[in-house]
Amino acid sequence: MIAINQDKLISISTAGEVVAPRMPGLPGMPHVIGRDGKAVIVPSFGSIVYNVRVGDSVFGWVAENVHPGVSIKNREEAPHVALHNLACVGNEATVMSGVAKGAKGAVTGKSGRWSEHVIISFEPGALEKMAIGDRVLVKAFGTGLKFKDAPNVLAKSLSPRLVEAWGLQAKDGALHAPVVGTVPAELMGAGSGLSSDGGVLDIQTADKELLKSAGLSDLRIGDFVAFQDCDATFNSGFHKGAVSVGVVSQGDSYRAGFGPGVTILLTSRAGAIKPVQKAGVNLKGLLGLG
Amino acid sequence: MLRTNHDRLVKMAVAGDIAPATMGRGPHKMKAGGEAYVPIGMAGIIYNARPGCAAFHWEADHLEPSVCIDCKDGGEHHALHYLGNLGNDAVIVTGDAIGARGVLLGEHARPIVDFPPEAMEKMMPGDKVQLTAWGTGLELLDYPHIQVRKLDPRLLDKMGIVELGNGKIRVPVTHILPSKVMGSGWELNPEYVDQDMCATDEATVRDLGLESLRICDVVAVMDVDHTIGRGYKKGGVVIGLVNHGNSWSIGHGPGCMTLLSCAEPMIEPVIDPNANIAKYLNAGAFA
Repeated sequence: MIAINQDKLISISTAGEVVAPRMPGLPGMPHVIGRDGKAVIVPSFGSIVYNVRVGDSVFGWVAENVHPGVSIKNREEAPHVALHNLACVGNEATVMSGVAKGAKGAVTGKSGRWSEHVIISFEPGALEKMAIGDRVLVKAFGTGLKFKDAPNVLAKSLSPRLVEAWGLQAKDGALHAPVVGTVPAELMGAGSGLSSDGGVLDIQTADKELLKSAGLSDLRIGDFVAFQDCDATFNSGFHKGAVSVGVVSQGDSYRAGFGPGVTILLTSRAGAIKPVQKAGVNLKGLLGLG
Repeated sequence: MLRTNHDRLVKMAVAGDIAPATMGRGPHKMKAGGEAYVPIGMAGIIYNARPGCAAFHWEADHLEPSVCIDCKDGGEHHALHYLGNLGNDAVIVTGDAIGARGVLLGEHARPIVDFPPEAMEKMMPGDKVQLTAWGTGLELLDYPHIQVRKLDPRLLDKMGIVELGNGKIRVPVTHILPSKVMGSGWELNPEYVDQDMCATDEATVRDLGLESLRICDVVAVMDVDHTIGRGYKKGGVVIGLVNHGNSWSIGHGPGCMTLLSCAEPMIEPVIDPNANIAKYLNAGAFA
């Protein structure tokens, strides 16, 4: 078991509400304009999604950056920013109002600019009882997490529970992180230059050949991936030699520059992360999500 | 000369007020290495840096040289962004500098207008600047596969573009960039604001010769397509304009506005140190 400073981390309440899907009002159009120029009207970020779950393919859904399960945010700006930055993947979430009151779930990721949700997995039975507007409490636990034997690696949005399940190892100061594949720098997309604590970094998916050669053709929501030449210490962005690792949190996109968003969990500007390729490294199995 | 539909484009007045610099109560931003800094350079009237100046020289973040204008009304703000084109004429219509003439030389968070220094000495934030907006909808009649954005037709004619036949054009640029160094701005449409180069990595900055970048330089970005949105596309080419100075934040750096884009390799960039629109228009640092 890798040594971390778990005993010094604070567990704190953050909360949000199940968000309704949103579309632009008139005179705007409800369409998403794809990179091929075609306009489509499809479900997008947020709400309760009944039939897309962590472990499913990111590809093929008739949807734009769909979030699996339940998406929440706080209606008040400052508490929202706290929720979005402090919630960690693997944290426990509890429904605090409505018919599903008491149902327990787990944080599986976040979304970025223009939606800024925290995405949570609940059992299908709980989803059936939940309603838009239900209050959800997240016990945020993980901010400040450090690896005693990999001092040049910064963790973010990473819960101690996930550290334990993931199988990270420290060797010679470097963190060995199991991932399904590594995203080449050319495919880093939306999210570059934006927050890596409250946000995601998208994998561009337009070039199917390049995706295939990177071994990412069968990508699933919940898969762990690495970004080569990516520093995510404050924002995410290209930085030669840096390595970042995260978990795929959303489905694919029709738009140029976008694709499945990845919640960043680890970053090392000095390149002290060694991605270890392993098939099937996915949150569903690691957290035992139903 | 490239044949265009310029004779069909409407000239329309759009206006904005000189925008004051603003800050949050906690003013700091973070450098890539973790050092906090107070950002200076965006909005307001910049007295000692004009378009055409070095992009990396200044102790500034996203430097917008000369004068930035904006509208508080969201609809007017977007009209100013979408209808203003580089090279458009500008005039001050209120305040002590009334009647002073300038030219639109960039667009970042706000349009960037260059005026003579003596006019800037008389201005203050809030003064109204009116543009004769002209260029939105500009098309290259013989190159339907190449899109034009943000160019006054008069500026297009000054960019030294050469027709090569078989649907190809050659465009003088100061630098040629690979797509992987492009950062913040993938999420924005290329008609609205720019995309930053990731310039926190010293080796990359050195290898691409970015230290010599000047604001208003014309540059090429390879293997991208900005036809609808911005995305990676092998063989695609974008000709862009350096619109603001460097930044220390990860994923940020000098900005690049989209001017010409083609999904196929039909735009051939050629290195020319003179490729700078302030130079082409005898404005800014080259006035």
